[in-house]
Amino acid sequence: MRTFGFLLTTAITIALIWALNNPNIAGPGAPAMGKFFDPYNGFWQNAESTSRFKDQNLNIAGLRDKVEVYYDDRLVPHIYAKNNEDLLFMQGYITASNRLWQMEIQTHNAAGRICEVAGEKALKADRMSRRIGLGYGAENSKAFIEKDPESNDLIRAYCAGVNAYIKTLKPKDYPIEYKLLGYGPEEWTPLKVALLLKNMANMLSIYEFDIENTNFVSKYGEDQFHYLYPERDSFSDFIIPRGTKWDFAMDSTVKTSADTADKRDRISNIDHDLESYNQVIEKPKELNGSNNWAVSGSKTKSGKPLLCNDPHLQLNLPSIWYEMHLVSPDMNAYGATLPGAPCVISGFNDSIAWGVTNGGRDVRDWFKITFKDDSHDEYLVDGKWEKIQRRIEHIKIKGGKEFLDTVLYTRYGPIVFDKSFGDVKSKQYLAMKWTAHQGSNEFKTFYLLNKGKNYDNYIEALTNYNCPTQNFVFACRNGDIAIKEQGLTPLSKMFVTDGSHSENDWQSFIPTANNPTIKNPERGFVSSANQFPVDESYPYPVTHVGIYEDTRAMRINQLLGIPDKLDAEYMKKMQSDNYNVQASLTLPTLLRVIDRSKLKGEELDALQKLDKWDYLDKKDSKETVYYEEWNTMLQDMLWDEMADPTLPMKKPNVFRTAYFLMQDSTSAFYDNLQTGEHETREMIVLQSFDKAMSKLKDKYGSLANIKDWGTHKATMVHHISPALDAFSRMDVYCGGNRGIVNATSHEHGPSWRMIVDFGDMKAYCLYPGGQSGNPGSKYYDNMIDKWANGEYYVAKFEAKEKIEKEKLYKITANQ
Amino acid sequence: MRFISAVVTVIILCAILENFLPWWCIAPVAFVVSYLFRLKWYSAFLSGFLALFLLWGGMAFLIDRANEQILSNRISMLILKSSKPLVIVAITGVIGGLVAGLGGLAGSFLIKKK
Repeated sequence: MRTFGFLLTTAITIALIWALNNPNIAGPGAPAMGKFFDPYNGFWQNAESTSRFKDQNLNIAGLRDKVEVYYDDRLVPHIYAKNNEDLLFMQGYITASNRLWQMEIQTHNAAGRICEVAGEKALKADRMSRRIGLGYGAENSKAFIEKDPESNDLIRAYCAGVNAYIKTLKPKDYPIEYKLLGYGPEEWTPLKVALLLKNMANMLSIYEFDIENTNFVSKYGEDQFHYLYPERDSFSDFIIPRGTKWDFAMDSTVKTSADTADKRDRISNIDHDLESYNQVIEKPKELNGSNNWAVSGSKTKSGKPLLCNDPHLQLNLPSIWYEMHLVSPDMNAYGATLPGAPCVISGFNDSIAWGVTNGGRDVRDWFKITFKDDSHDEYLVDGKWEKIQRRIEHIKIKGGKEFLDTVLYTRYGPIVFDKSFGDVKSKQYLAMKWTAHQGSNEFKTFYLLNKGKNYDNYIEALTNYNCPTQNFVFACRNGDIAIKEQGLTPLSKMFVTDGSHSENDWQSFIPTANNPTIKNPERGFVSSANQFPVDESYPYPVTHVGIYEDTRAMRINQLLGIPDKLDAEYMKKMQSDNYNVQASLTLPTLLRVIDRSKLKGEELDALQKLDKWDYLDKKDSKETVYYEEWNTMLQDMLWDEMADPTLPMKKPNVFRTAYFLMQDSTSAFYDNLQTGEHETREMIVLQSFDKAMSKLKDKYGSLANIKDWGTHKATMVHHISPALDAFSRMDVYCGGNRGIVNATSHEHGPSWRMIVDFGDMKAYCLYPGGQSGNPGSKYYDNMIDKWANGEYYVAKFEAKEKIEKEKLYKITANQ
Repeated sequence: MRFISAVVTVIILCAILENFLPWWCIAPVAFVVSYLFRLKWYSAFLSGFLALFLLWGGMAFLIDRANEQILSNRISMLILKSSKPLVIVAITGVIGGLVAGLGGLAGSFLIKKK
């Protein structure tokens, strides 16, 4: 009996331990519960004390000299090193100690390695990352950087710092996400630094709609295309002010291929059959934008320049940015860094300040490939057969077998969709050419900016910058302000091109010196907000990609154009400005043409409230809810012609739509394809209003009960992992929306706000997150509320003694 | 008295060994202690359970206080879909308690009847 009892209880004990020591037992995706709850090794080890901070003395192999790090009361590290290699080494070490999991998962994402940690469900996304050649581009960048010994040494120092931190870790110290997913960190490498920049390129330099445009023309013809997607909007407020004289002509060595000379030729040259294509790369919503501007001393109260930047990206925890202060004998830089890459990306030092917005240039084209036969070994170029290169991607899958994916590479680049990936129509093979595939050294730009002293240093730094195209705004303590759109810009195409003629290939790039730029303009400020960069006099063609939006730029330039002297307080109000330019353009037309006799009760009431609305997307406004819901519904119903899943097309942007509604009362596009009737503008306006109000009534019971805009919009800052609502901040109450200077929509918004005032050398900044990437830290999301209220922290850009005195704690590191 | 000594011994041994061994070392520790202390089956289970409930639950409780329940709240939202941080502390104690309790119970069956 006792033997039986012994065997039974031992077996039960072992079974219980087994169940608690393995993942997925408590449910799919669940961690090993015993390991996870064990307070000695599991998640409890990530629960940081909120009040106890101890100074640390570290001995780290790889350092040359002593480095001191002071964390301030917001956990911003101020790093003091005696040389730049030690400085970047420690930047790597400190960043990793706060953001390790995030750094790694972002590079895994770019490299198409999410399957390794999340299993087979990520296979499609992983294959996509690989098939668009992000890893291929990162390898090219790594090789390119290796040719520049200084950059190479500095990047290696950064990596060594990250790895020195990883070496100190035992499994109990791993960030909690590793414990949840059951894996551990791997070595950090220069390739990962390159992957991180390609990840940015993939977020920001993918604005081309060649396939969508080709589809549109094949269905609706050229005239409608030029009408709905005009090259330049006549009312645009360009980055380089209209009428600015260029001090150069088109470089005589720049060859424009036949089809860039005239846009009409472009279409007819390219695809005689005007085919349509059923596969496109899904584009992010048109929300990734940004604002930046600099005001000259002639327009400021202090007489010294002001510079502002707020890049709009998806809002995530841990935040895409990590705030740092980096000091060495020849550097004193402060600002937002990208965890995993060295130097400050948007920031300032004691002489200059800089910030970025997305240029959004078309730097990607699609070439139709003609194969010799079904073996796909050779393809046609200029009457000869060229050999295909095969790149085999090894995708490891957690809990499964390795997946091998063969990607065909042409002289242009990879063939993204084929029979094995995407359901391409027969023989429609398109090769992608993209500047992000080329090797480049963006690191050097930021390194030189971090050390920069003046305008010449800024221009010199930018020459190294290729992708993604950015508008770099600049201000110098000596009074100079400038802006330059910088990136490697080909004379690219708007349609799918025949790859069997090499003359269709990119013939040239715009020389860096001729990229649009302006220094100390007469109006006393420079600005950019993702609008079209230049007027008709610019010597090079600019491919319109249909995403340039001018609403924020119009408002910013209006606010900066006032005669009063400006100060940092005014800049703060500007970054939180909620004026809805798009509504101010669109709504008067809608209110004029809507048939009020068809409305009664609550609906009529809502409409009458809109009559008096001030066009402000304030958090406590209910009118905003009426307008935004109506506008969304209207855009969907109006452009239903472009919503065919078998024939992907791009909807005209909201800015273009505003003018379309204003100026065109008879277009065939007003027709709703779902109905037998023929709809007119007036009908679509009324129907969309009705539908939007019904939607609100379904949600809130009656229009009287609707919540205000801040509650309705429910901005969220979500953990990088879509599954982890519990590590996210939902329902952040704030105003703004897309297309507005305060571009805070449901899950996008100003990911970093910075104001630099050279008058008193003060900077105001913050981002919607916290310095710690650990959900068990009080510094994980502590800046979100201030951010939502449009408040700021003053950056502790002070003398070392003052920072030391006010420190939270200190790390002293020696070799 | 023997019961309390067993509980204290398990707590001390586990607190030391957890620093070097995997988390489930708590089961063999309770197994050996209940055998050496010649506990009856019910006190063997109870002593193991109580020891680890106190050790894991107590440690979680102290960490949780210093952390002002920031992480336990998030784990609670993750696992229980509601904010019950103290339940997370209790679950920690129960998991440790069950494993050690069963280990102790198994050990008690090794003792030969007199």
